[in-house]
Amino acid sequence: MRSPDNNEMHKANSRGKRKPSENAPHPQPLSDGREAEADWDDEIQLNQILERLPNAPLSSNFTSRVMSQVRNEALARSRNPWRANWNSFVDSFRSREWTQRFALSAAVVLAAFVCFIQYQASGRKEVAQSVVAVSSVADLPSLDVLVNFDAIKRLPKKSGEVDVELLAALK
Amino acid sequence: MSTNQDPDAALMLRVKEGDVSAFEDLVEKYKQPVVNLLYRTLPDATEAEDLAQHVFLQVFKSAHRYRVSAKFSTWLYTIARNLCLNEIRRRSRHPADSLDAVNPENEDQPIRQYEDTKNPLAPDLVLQDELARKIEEALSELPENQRTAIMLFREDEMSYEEIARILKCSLSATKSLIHRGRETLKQKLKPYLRSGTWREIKRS
Repeated sequence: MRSPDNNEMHKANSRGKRKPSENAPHPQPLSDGREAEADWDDEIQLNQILERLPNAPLSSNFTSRVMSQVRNEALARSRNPWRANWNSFVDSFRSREWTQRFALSAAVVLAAFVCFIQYQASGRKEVAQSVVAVSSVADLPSLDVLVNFDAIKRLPKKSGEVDVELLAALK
Repeated sequence: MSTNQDPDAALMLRVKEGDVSAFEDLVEKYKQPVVNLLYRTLPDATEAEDLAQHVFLQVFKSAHRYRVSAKFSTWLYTIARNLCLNEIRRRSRHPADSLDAVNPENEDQPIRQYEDTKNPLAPDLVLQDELARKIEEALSELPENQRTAIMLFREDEMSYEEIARILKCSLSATKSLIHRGRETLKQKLKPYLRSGTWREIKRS
């Protein structure tokens, strides 16, 4: 194992260039040798420590509990595959990282927004088409018909009674 | 990656076809490594076990999506890590009083207590127990990605490439994580490593 100083020297050598500080003579070559040896020893010790790390406590019925859940899941899937697939989708969504979940949610929101815009546009198009259809069938009356419009509008409304005097005057 | 190279992948393909007994073999093989990995990230053994149970159930539910593109263990540990990170996020959003929280009355006590099934008076065993606590403490103080990388490296002797896949980072970043994690551990455990106590305990 190299000491930090030796590492720097090695990097500098592999770059092919040395900084002025790296060109300076090594201050304590002998002590560095001992240090490197001690580092190497530490590495070996650490490997052994990690290898000998005690296992986490685990209950003896762990496998049977997992398998019981798994069998229930398999049974539920065979009974109701749609529901099982939906649950599986939800679980897989939850197990994803937040970036993936965010991307997926954003895609769903975007798709919903596009659908809404499309729906609105198609609604407006339908209204415009119906207006065009009506306007072509029912032409507006000519302006001559509306000459006495205001006078007729001001006339008193008497439902059911015939204004004989007016009829006579009109004749 | 073929099923000849990875017998676990062959088992998983059987699970995909509905063979539940093949899944039992996988659970039996990987339960301890998965719980070990989760236990070093979550503070509680029971919670680690519950989460491990959830990991295996998730693996079973996702069996239909399994493709033999990498070793089965890589896929398994990826799911385990994702669920573990989700759990940590959930806890940070909904913090609850932890049983491991330091009590002012006994703050000099270690975070984790180990059941002492051996003679507590034997000095070597006391020292070994203390060492074990120090190692666990040093590991728990590492950043999550460094700890996971080191545990995976130790647990299954995984290659750097496989660990990089699980951690979703580059090969060089993975090597750097392991190196930095080991350096931190060495610094924290240096008094024990250099005093020779570890070697003496191993011999006895």
